[in-house]
Amino acid sequence: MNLQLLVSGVSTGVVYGLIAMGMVLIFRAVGVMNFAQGEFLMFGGYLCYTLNRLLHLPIGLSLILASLLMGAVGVIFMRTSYWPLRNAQARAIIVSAMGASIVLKEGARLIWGSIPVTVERVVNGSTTLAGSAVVQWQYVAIIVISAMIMALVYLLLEKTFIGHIMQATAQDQYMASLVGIPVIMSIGLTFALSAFLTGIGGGLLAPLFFLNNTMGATAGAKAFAAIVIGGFGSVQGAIIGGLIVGLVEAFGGAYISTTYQLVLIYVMLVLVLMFRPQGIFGGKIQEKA
Amino acid sequence: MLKTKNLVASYGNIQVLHNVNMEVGDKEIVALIGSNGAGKTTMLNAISGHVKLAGQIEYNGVGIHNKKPHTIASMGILQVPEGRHVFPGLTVEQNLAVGTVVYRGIKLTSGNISADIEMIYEIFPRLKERRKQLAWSLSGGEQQMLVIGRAMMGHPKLLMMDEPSMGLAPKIIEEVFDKIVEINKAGTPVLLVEQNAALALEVSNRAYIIERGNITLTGDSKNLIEDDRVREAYLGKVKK
Amino acid sequence: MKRILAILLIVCMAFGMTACGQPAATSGEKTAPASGAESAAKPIKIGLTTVLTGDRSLEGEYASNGIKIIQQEINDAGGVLGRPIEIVIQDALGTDVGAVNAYRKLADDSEIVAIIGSDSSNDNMAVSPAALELKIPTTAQGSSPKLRDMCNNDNPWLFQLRACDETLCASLMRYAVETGGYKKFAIIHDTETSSADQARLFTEGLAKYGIEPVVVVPFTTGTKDFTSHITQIQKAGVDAIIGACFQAEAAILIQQIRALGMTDIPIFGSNAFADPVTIRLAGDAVNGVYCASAWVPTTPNPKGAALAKKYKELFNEDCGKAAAQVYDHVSIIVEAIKRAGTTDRAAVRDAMNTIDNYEGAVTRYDLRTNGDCGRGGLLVKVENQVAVVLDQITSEKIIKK
Repeated sequence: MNLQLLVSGVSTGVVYGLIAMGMVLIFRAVGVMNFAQGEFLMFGGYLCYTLNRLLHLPIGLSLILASLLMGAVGVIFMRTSYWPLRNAQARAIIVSAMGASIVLKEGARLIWGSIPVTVERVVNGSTTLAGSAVVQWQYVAIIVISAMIMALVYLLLEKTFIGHIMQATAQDQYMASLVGIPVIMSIGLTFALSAFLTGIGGGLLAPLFFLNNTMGATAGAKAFAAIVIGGFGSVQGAIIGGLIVGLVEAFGGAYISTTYQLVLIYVMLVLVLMFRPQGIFGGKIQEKA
Repeated sequence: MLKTKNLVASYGNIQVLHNVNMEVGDKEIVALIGSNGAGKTTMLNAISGHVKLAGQIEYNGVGIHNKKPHTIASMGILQVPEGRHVFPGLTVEQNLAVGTVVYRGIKLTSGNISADIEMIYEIFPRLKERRKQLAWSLSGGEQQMLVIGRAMMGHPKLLMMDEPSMGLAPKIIEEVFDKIVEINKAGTPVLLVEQNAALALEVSNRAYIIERGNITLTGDSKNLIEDDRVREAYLGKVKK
Repeated sequence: MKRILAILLIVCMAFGMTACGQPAATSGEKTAPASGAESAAKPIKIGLTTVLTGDRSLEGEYASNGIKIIQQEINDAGGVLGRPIEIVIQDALGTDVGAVNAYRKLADDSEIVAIIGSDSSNDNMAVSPAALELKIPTTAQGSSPKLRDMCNNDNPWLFQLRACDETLCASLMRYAVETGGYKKFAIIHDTETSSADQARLFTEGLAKYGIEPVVVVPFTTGTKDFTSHITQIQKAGVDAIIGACFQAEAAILIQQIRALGMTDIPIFGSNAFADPVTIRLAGDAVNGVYCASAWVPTTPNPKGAALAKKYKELFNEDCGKAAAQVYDHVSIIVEAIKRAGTTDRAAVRDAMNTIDNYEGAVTRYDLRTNGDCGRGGLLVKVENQVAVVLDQITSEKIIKK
């Protein structure tokens, strides 16, 4: 087992997990995959860059503020791209999300330019493990912070009143309004949470991979693969799926082929669809017919 | 406490309610009886704010027509819709807790609601046995109990029930209707929509008969049971 | 109502998208002065297709800025044939289809005398048939040998105003082997066409010395984490790494090579490896990188140095390659218009072939044949995050009769 690869695979995996989890939250709430989720990663990264590099705030604070601001972006996104179309067909909402992704992408280019940028690391330096494996501390920071955020969101959803309200709205909007839940607020909260969750990943990745306005597309596609592998609509599935994609990429790249890293992910996807079409965690929750 | 005046509602170009005038008093069970497609459910959805309408709905003297559904709910008008709308991915207890959102609002924690929950468990002991189960795994009758219980958690001032008997075994129907009477005795007025006219007339104080969006007959339930037109059309009995 | 809203939303978005693509173009138009008599002052139009949106939009930013400088310089000096020039920009979107569409849109304007292609051999080759069909003098920023052959043999309207990669890659390899004395190489490259071509040219350059790379590691554009790739290189035990890819990947790659413990290994890279963006992003890690580059802002070329200085003053960024290239392309087209004495496309094309010794900001140009018109580049080493020029690479043009 190569530790170097393991750490890199897990850390990219948890970031795919952050995006995938955000997508799943929105999917469960409105029944449509949000194809602009990758752009939340990019936009969150740029907000972090603005706070850290342009306003010279410390990186920790920048990360927190940027992801909170992303919450607001999530609400705006919901009001403009989803809410006006909530009674339309799913494909209309998908197209609208794709349009929004272009707006976010090119908007970021207009605001921050095309030259890639970077932010400070949360932790500098690296360490050597088991003799030869070099591990940069930033990778470790990504894993730890992402895991914390995921756990926090999970607890919020599963263990708190507000989380139950959001789940209730996601499961049955009509009934939710009848028990007195302001649906627009509850859905808005879900979008905010989703954008918050994904947005923090951008600032964490930036010092390693840099930010550019098109980084969201590839990451979003891999997160989508993670969701299918993990099981549609399952939060745990999104996290595990993300990790699987990250690890397949790292080890497959090193031991099979670097050219076909992406292909390996899709082979994995096809295998899952053939032998377990509901995904690893799929099919646990279903409505009794 | 609830009064509708010349209520008109349409879906697209099809008018579903024609100038409906109805009233629910403070302590009553009022039944709304009609065949499939007569406009019963539309009536409830109109009151709870889910249907665009013309005319007026007054609740304790305040106009509530064209208010948002969650605002109407927060005024104490809670609807138990047809078809057992539990929140399938939440447990029984979580479902009940969500019922309190109507007076509590969106908060991080649900506060101390164990007394209320115990009260629901007293009414529906079977829910207590299933408290940790996800709601989708309950039987149909249990789901119906849960939906009613969840509405009770919101301290309703007016409970509107849509076809509580639909799809349930006769024994369970009886149980559910006993509970409805019990809830009403405790002080909550009920507006009951039913296809099962015999049952509805039996438990209610007054009733309205609705046909193709028009109220065609109204009166005390015990008189309506004797009414020839009702007996023929809804109770399946021939004239005396 | 909902449907109308939906349509409105989509229309707004579509509008937003097109609006995003416009500012550079309109600003280009605005800077054209409107002085003098109506007909005499009517500007001469030159088209530019560059990538304003999408993955490669960095190129468009450089190019648009370069255009602003050269347009003003020429117009301040009285323009050409007594008329100011105006550069019309279209977004090539970063795809060959986008490049062709942008080209055809420009070609629809009969006042456009010549069109400058984007900084990609692929795009340039894609627009070649259109240039031939519509008979518009077209300049290409790409540097691939395939493009050179196409310009020389197939399309008299297409000019490769750039030193062909063959010259630069071969001289970098000569330096690595002869001066550096390295023998065991790993090649890591993007699978995208031009990077793959450069990797091939590097391999050929090594083959002259009987050296074969120990390991070749390809990756796809947009790769962010190179741990697996670098792990392979570590296992191979090489004494130098050769890289071919674009700026963003180059910066990440360099940084990760250093971070994973190969702190002192020399890296020989394609153009992008000494680009200002790469240097700024990769920071300290980029020190010790060698590159045979068409352009660096620290160029000893006097015209180039002046441009780099002006660019820095105006835009507070280091001048990138695409900016310097479009600067030269516009100058050469204007020179050809001057020599032709007319804006007739065919006459301008013929005049271009008469330019045999033109000193540009990037290099010297020889347009007697259409391919490989740029005569050289710079051999640089990055030290203290500055591209230090070790040597100027020049070659004489081989003209087959």
